Amino acid sequence: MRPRASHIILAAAAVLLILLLAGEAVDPVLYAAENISTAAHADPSTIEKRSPGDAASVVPLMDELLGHTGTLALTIKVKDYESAERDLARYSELSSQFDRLVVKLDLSETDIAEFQKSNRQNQEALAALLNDSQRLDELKSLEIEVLDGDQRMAVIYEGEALRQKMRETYTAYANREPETARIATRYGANATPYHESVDTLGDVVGAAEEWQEGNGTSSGAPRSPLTISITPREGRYGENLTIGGTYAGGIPGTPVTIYIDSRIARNTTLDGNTTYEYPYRIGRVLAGPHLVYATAATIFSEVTTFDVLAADTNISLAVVEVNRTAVACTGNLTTEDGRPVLEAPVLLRVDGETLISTETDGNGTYARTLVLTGGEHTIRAEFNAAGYPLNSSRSQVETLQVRGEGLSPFPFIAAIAAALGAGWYIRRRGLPEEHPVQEEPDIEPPPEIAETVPSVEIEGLPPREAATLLFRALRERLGIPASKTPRECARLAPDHAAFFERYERIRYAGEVPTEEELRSMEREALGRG
Amino acid sequence: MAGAKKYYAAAVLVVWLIIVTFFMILNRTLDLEVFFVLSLIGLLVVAVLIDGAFSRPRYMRYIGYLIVVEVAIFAYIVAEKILEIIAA
Repeated sequence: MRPRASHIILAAAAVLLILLLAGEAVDPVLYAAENISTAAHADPSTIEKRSPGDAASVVPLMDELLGHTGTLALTIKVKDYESAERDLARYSELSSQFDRLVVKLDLSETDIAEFQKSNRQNQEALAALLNDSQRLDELKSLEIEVLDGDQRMAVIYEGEALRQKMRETYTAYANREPETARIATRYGANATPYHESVDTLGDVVGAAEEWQEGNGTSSGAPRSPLTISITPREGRYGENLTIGGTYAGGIPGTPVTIYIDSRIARNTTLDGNTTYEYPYRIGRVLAGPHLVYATAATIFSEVTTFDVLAADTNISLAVVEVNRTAVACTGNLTTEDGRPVLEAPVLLRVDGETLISTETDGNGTYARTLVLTGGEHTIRAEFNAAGYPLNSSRSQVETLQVRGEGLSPFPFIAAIAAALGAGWYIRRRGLPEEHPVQEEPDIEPPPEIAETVPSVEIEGLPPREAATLLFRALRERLGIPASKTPRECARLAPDHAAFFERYERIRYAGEVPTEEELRSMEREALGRG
Repeated sequence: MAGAKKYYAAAVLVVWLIIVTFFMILNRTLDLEVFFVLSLIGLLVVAVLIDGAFSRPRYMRYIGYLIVVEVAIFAYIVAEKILEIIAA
């Protein structure tokens, strides 16, 4: 094939390829494990995980999780707290693995997700029971050391609070047993350790109750002159409960301290009727029973409880454009009956992954300005009700188009500057002063241009220098580039080959031209011959 | 020999790009920017290795033009990244 034809075919193929690529170049489809769009591009390593029949990979983990509940309950029972903490750390690590697997396999709509939820709650319950057992043990040793009446009462009250808390935690744990075991059995996991853990924890809580009964707080204690009552006995987030009572024999103005869950909630004083009252607003406390008692100097009241009920929440989201790149996200977080949730953390999930945190103010309103890149974005507000007697909620997903800043001139300036710099560098590197660049042999012969006759004065010069001057003059007259050697000149101008060959011998072989030769060369160089 | 040099250079460059692509696919991180930068590095290395001391073949001039264009694109990418970092 002729070289010209092959070059044309190559050029055509290159152009075709560029045209084909041009369509995709702006927005290339890159295939990764995360974005398999067609079966043909599926990543083999993820196919197995995505297939619905792959529940088998979940079952060993379920098995292991259930196995850990048994071990952990046993170590709590035998009071080997060091091992129990190690087991708990391992258990929570496995739970995290399981959570990830559920998300990865997209099992959120199956009963595996229910198992996951129960497992999480079990983990929290086991952690709480471990802490409470440890604290109870501390109280037991304190009780032996402390003989003083007031301190002893404080120990007993805290013990009572712990007992109630442990009983509550255990009941919730045991209530989850049938459902969790059903799911586990359905997938062929061994639920026996889990059943055993329920029994073991029952023993732990039973032992705590025996100790408390031995202290006689629940019954048989002399009736305290300081009474306490709560109305109503239960409430939801934002509702007010009134904690109050009387102190028979108390003096008006006597300070009264009210404890909720063994922590000081309020210091108040007795009024003229020797009564006290504290309006308690349910705020950031966990749902469930809470323990209340009061003290006036050395007198302790009885222990009473109130229940905090969990409530659903609603979170709204409104997105308003502030400028080309910023958007303002605002919304309200309220309970189902419209009470604002105050100073609560709110997460803004941008494009399903980036999380930006903000907080509601005193009116349950949050506001946050986000700076986003140009293009389409989705934003959703989320309230994770950790620590609140509330259920989590999510807003609807808002889709918005951010215009983004116009193209900055800076990258273009940088590109032009870099191109100029690179061009200058390459040119400079390619043109060293002592070695003029020689082009690949130029095929085309130099055109016989209408030369201007250079003036050459060779009188008085040494013969070889005179010959060089005449060579340059002839070369210049013929328009041959200065980079050409005498031999190349002879090839380019065959009519003057004899002149150039003679000069080559003078230049390189060291021959000295005679006077007559110089005259002859001069005539030829100047075109007078 | 001199004429064959440019074919060797092209072959080396193609092999380099295949290696880069292979590892990017292996790592499941296909990124055009990274690919471009690695290809530019390959081109610069090849250009330095085949450049002669006393002569400048025509293909070297064309490689020079290619390098100028790629350096310009590279500078654009770097400037974009700098702006992203400043904006973040």
